[in-house]
Amino acid sequence: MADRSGNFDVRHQGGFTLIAAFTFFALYLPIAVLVVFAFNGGDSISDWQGLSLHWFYEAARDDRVIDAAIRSFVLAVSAGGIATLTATLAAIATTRTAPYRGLSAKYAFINLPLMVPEIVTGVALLIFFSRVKMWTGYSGLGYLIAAHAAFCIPFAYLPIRARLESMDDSLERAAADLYATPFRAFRYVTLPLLWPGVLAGFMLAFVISLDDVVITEFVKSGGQDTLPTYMLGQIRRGTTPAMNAISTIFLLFSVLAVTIMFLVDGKRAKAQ
Amino acid sequence: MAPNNAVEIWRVTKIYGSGDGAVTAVNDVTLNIGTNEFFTLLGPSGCGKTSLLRLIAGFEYPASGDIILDGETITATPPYKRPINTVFQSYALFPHMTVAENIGFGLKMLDLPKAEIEPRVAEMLRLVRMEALASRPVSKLSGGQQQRVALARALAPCPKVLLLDEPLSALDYKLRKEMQVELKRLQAETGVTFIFVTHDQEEALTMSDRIAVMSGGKLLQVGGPREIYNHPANRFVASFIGEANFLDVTVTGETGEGLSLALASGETFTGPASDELSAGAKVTAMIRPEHVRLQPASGEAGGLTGTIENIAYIGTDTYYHVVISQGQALSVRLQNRPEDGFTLETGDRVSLSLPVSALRYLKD
Repeated sequence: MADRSGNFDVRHQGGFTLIAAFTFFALYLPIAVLVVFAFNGGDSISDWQGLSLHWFYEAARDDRVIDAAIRSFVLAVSAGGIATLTATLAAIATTRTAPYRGLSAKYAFINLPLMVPEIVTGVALLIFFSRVKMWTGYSGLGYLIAAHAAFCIPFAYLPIRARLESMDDSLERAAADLYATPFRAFRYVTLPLLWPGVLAGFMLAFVISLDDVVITEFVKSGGQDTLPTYMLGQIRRGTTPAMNAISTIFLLFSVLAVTIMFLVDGKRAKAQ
Repeated sequence: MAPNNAVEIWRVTKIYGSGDGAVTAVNDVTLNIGTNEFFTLLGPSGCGKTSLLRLIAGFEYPASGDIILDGETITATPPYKRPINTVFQSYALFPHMTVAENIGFGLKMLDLPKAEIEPRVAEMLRLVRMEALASRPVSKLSGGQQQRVALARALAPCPKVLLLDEPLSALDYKLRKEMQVELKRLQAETGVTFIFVTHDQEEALTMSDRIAVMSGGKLLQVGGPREIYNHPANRFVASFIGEANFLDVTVTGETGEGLSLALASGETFTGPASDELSAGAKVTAMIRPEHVRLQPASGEAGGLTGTIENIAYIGTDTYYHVVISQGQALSVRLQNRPEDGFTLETGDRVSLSLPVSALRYLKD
């Protein structure tokens, strides 16, 4: 169907509004229910027994929750940081060079972790790291950081590359023309303009690392629960609204991160 | 090597791509550009003028040949070591910096002390009349203002040569005219050698000391605006710069004034003498529309006659499209003057005269 001006507009499709409403409903209703029951006074996740912050208090009092949360945070920051640094270098190498043979193979290689099933990566890393652990005797957080950094690279790479591609490369030429060595051109022109992309890449990598379950489950040593694996373990033993409370804090964190990113990017966009 | 050449381009060739897809953007160009000269590279898009500019700036390196700046070979020198600055077509101002920071960027990269950068930036701001906007972010500027900042930024480090890559193409007509005057003023005040790239022949004629006309990667002609307009080297130059009528003629003999020329349809007229042409030779004769004289046909025999097929009035002048014979027509441009005693209409018979001094013989 077409509107009067003859342009195709999806809003004029019959039933569009209904389908849209249902989709949002299906996506967000369960999350809304989860958040609501985090504030339940009783110990049921389905029977409302009055408003209370009891379960937030319970979760915060549990040492294992705090321990797992700190580990998750440290892991997400380190892995996200390593992934962002690697992805930035990769993005520059794949956008600021003349096209050459093997460039698309390189794209595929960088983005491979998106395609390989997580379970395969998990099993492979389990076997590989168990050998490394035997040889080195080291069983710290390094394995998890390395594993997370690896699968976070494509997530960090995509926004950084998108930003680089949308940036006018005549700016770098102008810097070179004005006596800036390649390093200084990067430092004074490319990087300041690339910054929102780098931040977006880091945020994405951070969030992806934060809620990973499959690979973490395979790679972690004993006593190295992250928040998601801890929650998985608890849910197996029956759930209390404490899980809802932790999830709600998780959600709040993500919303906050996205909002900050949006504000930073919006400010940038306005300044340009 | 003559000391008064700022830039010498010696047999430079630039090829993009390789194998079957290879494109020769600059084909064996040799060119000398004098110190303090306003030199223009003129040609249609894709003629190689911008490629040549990029080779001089150092953004590209030639496949063969040499580029010499003030007697020093810089063919393989990276752009950040060449004392040459560029005004980019897109201006390429740094969007995260203010006007003053943009202008001072080159000086900062040259590691000059702040005490030297600040007065130099102030001087540049004055030169382009932007003092009031020094701390403005460049994104808040109009097109004309951005243009001035781009100029100031490129001139601030006192380059030996300033390259300008179609810098006026994004401006509207009135602003473009103003900036043309402005550029001439800046060049006179700074004494820097300007190499200006444009596809606009009028702009080239107005501003340049000398013009190089390029097409298909080759240099066709180098000369002053008058020389290029009045004595084009070939058919391409004649038609690219200004308007031109081309007449395919055969030399039939010599007269007291010069050569007697005949059109394919038999009409004859007289052209200038030439050592290279003798009876029987076929050649293209060129004449500018404004040099053709036109009068209502008088009925006298002799000379060229034709029929007006089309009239275009453009205010100052009027164009008449006159058909002489089948397949042979002339465009005539006459200035509109109130004292002209005749009016011409489409379909009128007219007699044409082609002044011998205005006719040129062309190759190709």
